[in-house]
Amino acid sequence: MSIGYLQLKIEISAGNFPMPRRLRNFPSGCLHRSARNHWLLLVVVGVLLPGPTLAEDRFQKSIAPLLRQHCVKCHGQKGEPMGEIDLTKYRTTSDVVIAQPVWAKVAKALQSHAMPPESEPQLALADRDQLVEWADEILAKPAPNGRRDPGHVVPRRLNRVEYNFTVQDLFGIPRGFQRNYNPQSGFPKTPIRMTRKTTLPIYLPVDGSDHGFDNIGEVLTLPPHLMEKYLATATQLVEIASGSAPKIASTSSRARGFVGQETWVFRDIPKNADPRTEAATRLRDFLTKAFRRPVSDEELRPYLGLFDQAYKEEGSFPAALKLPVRAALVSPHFLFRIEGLADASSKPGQVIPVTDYELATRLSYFLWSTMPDEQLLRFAQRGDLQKPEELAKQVRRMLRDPKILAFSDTFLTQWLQIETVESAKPDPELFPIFRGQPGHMLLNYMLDESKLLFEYILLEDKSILDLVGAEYAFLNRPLAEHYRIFEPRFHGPKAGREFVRYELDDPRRGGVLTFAAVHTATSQSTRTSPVARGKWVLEVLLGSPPPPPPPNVAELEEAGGAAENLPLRKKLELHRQNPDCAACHNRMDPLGLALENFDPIGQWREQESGLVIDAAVKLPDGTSLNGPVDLKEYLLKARRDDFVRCLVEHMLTFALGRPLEYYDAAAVNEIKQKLEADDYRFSTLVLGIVDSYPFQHRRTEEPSP
Amino acid sequence: MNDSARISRRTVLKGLGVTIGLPVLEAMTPRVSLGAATEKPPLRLMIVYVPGGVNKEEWTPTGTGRDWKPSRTLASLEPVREHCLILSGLDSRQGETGDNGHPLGCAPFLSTAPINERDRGGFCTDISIDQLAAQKLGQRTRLPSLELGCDVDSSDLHYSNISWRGPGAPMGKEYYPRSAFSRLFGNVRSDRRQKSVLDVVMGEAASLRKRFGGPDQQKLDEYFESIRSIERRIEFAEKDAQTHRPPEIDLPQAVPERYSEHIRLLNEIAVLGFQQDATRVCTFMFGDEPGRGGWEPELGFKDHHHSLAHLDPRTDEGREKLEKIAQIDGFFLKQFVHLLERMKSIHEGESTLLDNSMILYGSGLEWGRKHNRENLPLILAGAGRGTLSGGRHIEYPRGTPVANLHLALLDRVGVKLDRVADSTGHLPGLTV
Repeated sequence: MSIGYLQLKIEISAGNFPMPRRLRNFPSGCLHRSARNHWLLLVVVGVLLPGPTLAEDRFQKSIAPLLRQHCVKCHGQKGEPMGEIDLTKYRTTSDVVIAQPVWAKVAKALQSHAMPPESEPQLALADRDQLVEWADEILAKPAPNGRRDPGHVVPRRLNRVEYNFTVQDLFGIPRGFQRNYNPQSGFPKTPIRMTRKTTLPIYLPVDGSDHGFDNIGEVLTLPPHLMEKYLATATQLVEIASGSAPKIASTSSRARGFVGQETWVFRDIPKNADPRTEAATRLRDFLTKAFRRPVSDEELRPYLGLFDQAYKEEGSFPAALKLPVRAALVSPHFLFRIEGLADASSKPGQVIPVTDYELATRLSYFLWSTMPDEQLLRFAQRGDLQKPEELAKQVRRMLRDPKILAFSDTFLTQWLQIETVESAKPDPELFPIFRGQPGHMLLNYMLDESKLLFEYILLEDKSILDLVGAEYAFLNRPLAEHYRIFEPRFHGPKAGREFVRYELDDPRRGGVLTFAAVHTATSQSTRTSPVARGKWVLEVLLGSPPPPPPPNVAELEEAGGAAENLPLRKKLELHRQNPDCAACHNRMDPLGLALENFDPIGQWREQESGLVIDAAVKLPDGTSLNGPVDLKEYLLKARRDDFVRCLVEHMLTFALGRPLEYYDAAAVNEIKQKLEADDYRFSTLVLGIVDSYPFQHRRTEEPSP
Repeated sequence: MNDSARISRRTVLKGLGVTIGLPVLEAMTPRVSLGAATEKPPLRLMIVYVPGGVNKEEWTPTGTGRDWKPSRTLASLEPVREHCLILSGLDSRQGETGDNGHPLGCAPFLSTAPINERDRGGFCTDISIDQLAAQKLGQRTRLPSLELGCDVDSSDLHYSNISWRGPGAPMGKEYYPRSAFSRLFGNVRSDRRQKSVLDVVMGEAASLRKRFGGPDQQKLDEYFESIRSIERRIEFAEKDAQTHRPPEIDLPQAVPERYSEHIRLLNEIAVLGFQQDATRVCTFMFGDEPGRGGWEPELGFKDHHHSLAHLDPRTDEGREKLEKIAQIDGFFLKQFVHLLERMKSIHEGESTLLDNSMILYGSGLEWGRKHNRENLPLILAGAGRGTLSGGRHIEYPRGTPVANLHLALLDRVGVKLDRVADSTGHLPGLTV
């Protein structure tokens, strides 16, 4: 099978279209996408031309010479190749394709500028780009043996959001959902109130995040002081859940109402029952829920032992249960989501489908950020999640459960990078509303607006393109005033903090590009940052983040000569005259400058410091845009493909809890195709992820050599 | 780049902790005491980190040796001048590439990882020198090491950690004075029940570890080690239950509003920890990268440290920013001087706590605006039990790795290594 044929097959199946050339763009640091842009051309020519393919030609004429010139001195056959990477072994494109993992490393080293080392002659930027793009192409090809790699997910510690939800659901402590509506009956037509109350007074430190998300296994570490907090929290929780906690400080009326009641775990037994038998049953139930899978007798035994020990001293059934429950709450099986316990016989590096229970757990933490509920566990037990139609039914049920509201709190805010906007500090002198509480509330409303659009699209199963192109918005009075939208509904006697859906007639509002939350999060306290906004568009909407600036680069202000008192736009222009900076800033700056009509707190402006805002820009692909409305159009039409892909990638990263790798490209393409065939419906995206190869499979970890 | 190399390296370093742990008596015997005075106060190591580099124009002193003349910023060191070594010319981890300068300066500031040998998060965060030192110095204390910091809740590990147990495994840090205090002195209830709980979960962890390899096992190792450290605290608490008298200190419920007060309280807790021999190793990040805003109460301006650092020195605005950065540098240094004075006020026999300590102060960047890691601003204070001769400014040949200093510090605490990171030898000249 020729290379050209392979490409043709993928190209058609992926339904890609030629699009403006870009640099690389996977959130994971993997490198396949820019390549796609060349494929169609490559394929068409490759098929028309007889003899050696264009790809081979390119390898021999452009790539191999660069490798020879810059790499093989150390990574060659003379002596021992550095890092055991010998690049002279690869003489043709086919040699390269069968060694994708090696070339993934090479691509990463090139892209991050880790190679060639500083001490060696450096690659010209264009050459580096060419190598990276070429490696992208190779890496996006299916492995020659046809085997797919679902990747490996390390045991994931519950992050603090997941921990909080999980313990509440585990004990059946009622949860507040911070909305006055129930998703079961769809998105409400009535005004919506958002509250911010927490039910349980549990303090855990913020978790590390990676690729924008705080549920990535690799960075969810467990230092000793966090373990101490888990132990202390477990002790506190059993007191609360057994109804014996002294009054706890909580702002939530639900929790206050709850204190003093025992949960199902600690319910007493009839007088004539045998405590030990009852304890075994109770603990088996509890551990099954806590560990999200059935437990063996052997696993149950030490917990029963704890019960026995405590029962001897306490003489009371509920009191004696506290000890084993406390232990379960600090067990590795509870704190970590560990997969692969069931596949004792599988070999390292083997690919296997996830078990029913693992799938149930993946599902519930993906959509709900909490443990599987009874129905999911029951379906898992019966093996029903293996049936595609049952699985889809469960997913649709989950999308309507009140717990789904966690999805906009976790995924949406992190994807849009607005999760910390509540603590933004716009300059109170420039923006007087931020002198006090109204400003703080406004920041909350900005966040609420974003969440509500997402929840609407989710519950009404609208197109994900509405995230950018919505011709409606969810506003309350303060936010409408902030946006200077005058409508009787927002100013009538009953107008208040409740949000209502507002049909927009002005495209300057609507969709994430127009969210004050985004504008505020990407601004400094006194001014906008077009660079940060441009980077935001590239990362969040287009999925092509620029590489980090090289060390010791000249600063913006220094790069273009004494630039005192020039408007920001001019400073940026001077900055881009420096070729070191231009490569990336040519991509970032215009996108950010097109949003300059939004001030640092998201209000529309025509002028800044007496100068008329000039939001007309030219993008590296030649497109001319004038302002945010054009940018929106550009994203929805010319770059629709990239936007959809980018959202799929972000959501898949969140669902898998690991950065995407080169081998995930196929799954991303498949999900994207399904979306294209189904009007980009939200549920298609979620179902596509749930059905995807990496979500349904796992690779057992190869032991370290 | 190379997984196998990294893992084996970590194993080696861990192994080191065990082997040097065995001859306890010898390990505990002070180097200079010739075996006689076992009562001699122990050696302590503290590292203070300040974010974002400094205004180097106002930092660099003139002259070397004993006759150095302080710069404007270093003038605040005057009260403790005799106890400080100003170290110039040391470069951190040259040739290392990656994300922008702030995490690159911060995360591997104390790391022993070879240059560009990355953890899975892309940074070179193998075990840091404080943790190596803790394996040696921490064997007999309630806490092997104490990690403190004034900034809380950063989700970016590499902007907010200098202390690492191993690749990608930060120690985290205490932010609330109260919880820092209770970790050091709190009454760990040594109830049988807590121990039975730990026994059960430790059993589970042990059987899990047998089943998994590679990174899975590393994750479970973290769990295992954390439980171990708690068990250890309980053992210590039981041993000194009769004699343990937690020091008295008035700590507020919340974090003090004033930055200086927050730093002072955490400094005080560290000092008490040293004084009572509850720990001998401490890292304290006065601030996380890339610095913070809200300087009004202390310095009267509200600029963010990081936005100040991005300046053009040729403009008036730039000069103004430089001035403010110098004020921030002065602020941090003043808190450091308070710490040293406090340590000096604590007598330990003939000597003081300051005499028996080594306190490294510095940033992982030279200039915030350049994000560069050459010629770092560094001060080494304390007499290190007679192994450091203060009162001097030493200018090292340009290009001397800061890892040489790390090696020299480790040597003084009894961790004998030939090489860490990009070191080329032990840093000379610290002792006259």
